[in-house]
Amino acid sequence: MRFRTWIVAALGLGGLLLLIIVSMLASSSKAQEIYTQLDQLNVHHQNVDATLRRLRSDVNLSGIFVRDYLLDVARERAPEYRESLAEFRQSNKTTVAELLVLDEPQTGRIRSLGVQLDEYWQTFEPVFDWTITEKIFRSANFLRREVVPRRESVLAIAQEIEELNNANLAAQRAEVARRQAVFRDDLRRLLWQTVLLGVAVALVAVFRLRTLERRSEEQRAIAQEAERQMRQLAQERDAAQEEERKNLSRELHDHVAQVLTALRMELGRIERTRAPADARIGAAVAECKTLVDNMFRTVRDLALGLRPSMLDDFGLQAALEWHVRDVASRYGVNVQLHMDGDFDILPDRYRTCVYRAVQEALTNCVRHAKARAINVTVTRESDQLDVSVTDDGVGFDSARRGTGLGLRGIDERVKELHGVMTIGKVEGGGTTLAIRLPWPVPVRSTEVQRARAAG
Amino acid sequence: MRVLLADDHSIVRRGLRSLLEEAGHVVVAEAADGLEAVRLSEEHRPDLLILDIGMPKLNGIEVAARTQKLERPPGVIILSMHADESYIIRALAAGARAYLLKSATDEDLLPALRAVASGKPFFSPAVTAVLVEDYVRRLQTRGLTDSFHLLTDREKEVLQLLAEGRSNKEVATQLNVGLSTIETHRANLMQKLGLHNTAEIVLYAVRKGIIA
Repeated sequence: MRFRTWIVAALGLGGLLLLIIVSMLASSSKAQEIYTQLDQLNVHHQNVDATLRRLRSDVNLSGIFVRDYLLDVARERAPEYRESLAEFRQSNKTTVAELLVLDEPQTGRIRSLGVQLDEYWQTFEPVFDWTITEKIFRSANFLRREVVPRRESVLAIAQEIEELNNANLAAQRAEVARRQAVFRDDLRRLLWQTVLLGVAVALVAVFRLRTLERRSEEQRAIAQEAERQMRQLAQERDAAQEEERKNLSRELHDHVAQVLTALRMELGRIERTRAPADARIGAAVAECKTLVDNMFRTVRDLALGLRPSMLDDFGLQAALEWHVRDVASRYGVNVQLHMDGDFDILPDRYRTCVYRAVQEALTNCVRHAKARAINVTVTRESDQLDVSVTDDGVGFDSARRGTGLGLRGIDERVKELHGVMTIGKVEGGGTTLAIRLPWPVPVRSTEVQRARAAG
Repeated sequence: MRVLLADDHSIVRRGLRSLLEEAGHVVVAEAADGLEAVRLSEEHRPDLLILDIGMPKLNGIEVAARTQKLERPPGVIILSMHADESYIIRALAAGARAYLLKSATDEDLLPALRAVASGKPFFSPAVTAVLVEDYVRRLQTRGLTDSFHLLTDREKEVLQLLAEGRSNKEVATQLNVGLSTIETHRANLMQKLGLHNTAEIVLYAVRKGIIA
């Protein structure tokens, strides 16, 4: 069941994002549309309303004008009134034309309004030819019988148109509100879909992440376990190697050397008991003794090289003292050993670790760093065991290449005892290898065993 | 002389026994481990112990130390594989008088026996050679000078007698001076040479070739 998680996640998240963006754009444009519609509706209504108002005011004003004229006795002002009235009439005409354009659905009513208006204006025409006397006697009757009823009918039509206009506005608004509701429902549905999709994507992602995390956790645990096993294996290997060296060394001491000792004594006896004249046997026996002596030395050196018996017989200090003397005489270098503390109480693992570390470090110093003077210190600082090997050689980098394995070995041993190994340069050339081990918690059985020693 | 042999290898004991008996000595007992050696020493009170260092239960150095606490302590000859001072100094400190390399036993054992019988220390020539050689090399590599020339003639005499195995009292008698005088000389020479005990005095004397 191997599917590409990142593709699924990308598709899910991308879809989600697209959905959000599209729905946002769509709803924004829809809202804009609705607002525009509402706006247009309002403007239209206001326009119609304003036009009607103007119409009404023109009609009313014209009524007042006519009355004024009828009351005015100055005959010569008749053309002036007529002109003004013509203006009102013209304005009224324009207004009706505007209304026709504005309010198409009510064309019938507007036309009848226009007709009524025409009649209304027509009514005034004869008045301007009236004499003063006519004005005085006829005007009241004229106003009551002709003007007022016509004006009322005009205003009634205008009122009707206005009401229709209002009704229209309400209807349109209701339509917009309905569309708004539909839009809101759509929006809500979209939102739910988005949320559901988002939740789905999130669930898949979380599930997948959890799986991956668990898997990586498992992998790490496996890797850690493998490393732990490897380290343990290395430690066991080291311990087994050390044990084998110990056994071999002891075997060489206890058996090979003893046989050689006995052999040497037997040869001595032959030498003492042989017939004095037999010079050939004498020479052969002497040769054998030399061979046995050489063999003895070889066996002893081999045993010490494997594991110095002093380490088990007398403890760390004796073993290090021997080793330092051995290195000094073998390589002609000046090796100083300074030890401060009772190291004979150290458990075998610690003794072996420190001994092998110093041994490896000294080998590095003389073989690779070409050192002439080496300082070895082993000190105890309260609950810590400090070991340092400092030389005046050519430094460590060149020495490291050939002996990395040996140093790694020390590092392993030191880590096994929860210690730290560091390598540092000394001013003016030379290198220091330092080891710090936690001092072991005292255990009864850590007393150095001195039951056996090489004889 | 009445001798007790202690070595966990019968093949070595057999060789030693025949060597000793040829020379007319008596092997009163043989022990195959350290504890047996101590027990047999208490039982037989031999004049001389010949001890291997590496033995089961108790090593030769411990056996030497324990038998020195007996009423009439036996002389002790240590047999060892090693010509290293870590062994020699511990053997001497435990009361051993002679230190022999196992490889040279057949040549060195009888001279060692004679030396110990007369109260003198004895070391295999091979051991002495190694010690001296080692000492000289260390002096050279460290660029140290020996402080032997700082000793007075009397101190040198005292050093030699002490190294030969005499007690302070014996030295006083031999040189015809008081015991406290010898004790003072001894303390002075030890301080000048940086020595801490009789075992180190003996080792120093061997290295310098004062005794062999």
